[in-house]
Amino acid sequence: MGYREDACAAVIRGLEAAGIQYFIHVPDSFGAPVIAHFEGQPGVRAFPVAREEEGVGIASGLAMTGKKSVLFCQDVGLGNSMVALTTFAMAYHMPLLVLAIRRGGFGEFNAAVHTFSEGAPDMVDSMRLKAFNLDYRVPLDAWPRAIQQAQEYAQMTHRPIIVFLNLKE
Amino acid sequence: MVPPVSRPASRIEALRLIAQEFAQDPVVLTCGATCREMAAAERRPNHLYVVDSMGLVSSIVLGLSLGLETGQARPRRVVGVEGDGGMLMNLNALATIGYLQPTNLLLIVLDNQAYASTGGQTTFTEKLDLAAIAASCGLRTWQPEDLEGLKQAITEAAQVPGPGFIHLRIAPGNAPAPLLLEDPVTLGHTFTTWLASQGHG
Repeated sequence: MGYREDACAAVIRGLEAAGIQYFIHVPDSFGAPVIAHFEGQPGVRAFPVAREEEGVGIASGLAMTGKKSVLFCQDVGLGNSMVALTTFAMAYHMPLLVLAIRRGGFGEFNAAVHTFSEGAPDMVDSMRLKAFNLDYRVPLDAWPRAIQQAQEYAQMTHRPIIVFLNLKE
Repeated sequence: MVPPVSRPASRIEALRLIAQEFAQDPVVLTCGATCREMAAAERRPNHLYVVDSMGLVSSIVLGLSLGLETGQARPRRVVGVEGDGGMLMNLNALATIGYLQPTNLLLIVLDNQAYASTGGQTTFTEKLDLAAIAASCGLRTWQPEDLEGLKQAITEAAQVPGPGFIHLRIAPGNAPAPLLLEDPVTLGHTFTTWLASQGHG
């Protein structure tokens, strides 16, 4: 398998270890194997949303009923969801896990998307949203535990936690 | 004899009826005058007051409804109260609700054809039919004309599983109500504590 496939497998292991019950996603070509896995996984309800802020609202509603979910999207989609993340998820202390796939950085092919993607971590930081990074500098065998810990950290600190994933080598 | 002409309800009249009809169900309220008027008129722990995040109520309610689905034929209703401006801000939610078909979700849109909380600017609903949009997304719809019709629509919606959408034209204007200045954490905690007392969360 190549790096992307190995990275996607590590993400899947992390989400399964975290006990995710709802997999909410927005399409992404790099993360497609993760989406395909959960779409076919009994015991996990996987479904798409049209835009990322919808996913923040749905994940928040689920969190209030004690259910664990993940919003799986591109980092550029965080731009669509900043208002929902800050004015609802943060303001109301919603424990959410957001996995944001990098669409910039080494390996990116799209000449239009990198500008937003490269600024996304600073944008998130400026909104006081806590984020962690997983990329080629972190060994893949450490990714599952990191994703599980991010989910636990969201629960214990009562706020959204974002994990940036660079699935490109 | 001339039949009585139905009068559009005011927002606060509709909210009082919704509070009474859903006294034991989760009710999520959109920002601005809707939150303020409900909090002033019928403050209850089963209400979640969303004091900002315009347009997000329908998505929050969808998450709640998925989390509270029981598989029973006549499940508890999870109610979202949205305005026409908020609904227009997140029409995507209707598509997602229609796709997922939660059994227990009911959206009630109080449509005054204006952004009443921000000075009364016109919304698109002067020309758009929100109920037709909801119906095309796969929601069952009702379009009552007054309070009596709203009560009847709520009764009918409670009888059928699947996502429902009630569109009520209301009169323009806001009722006097103080600002809702509590910390959102407190507002959320009150609601989730009530949910937990019902066996959820």
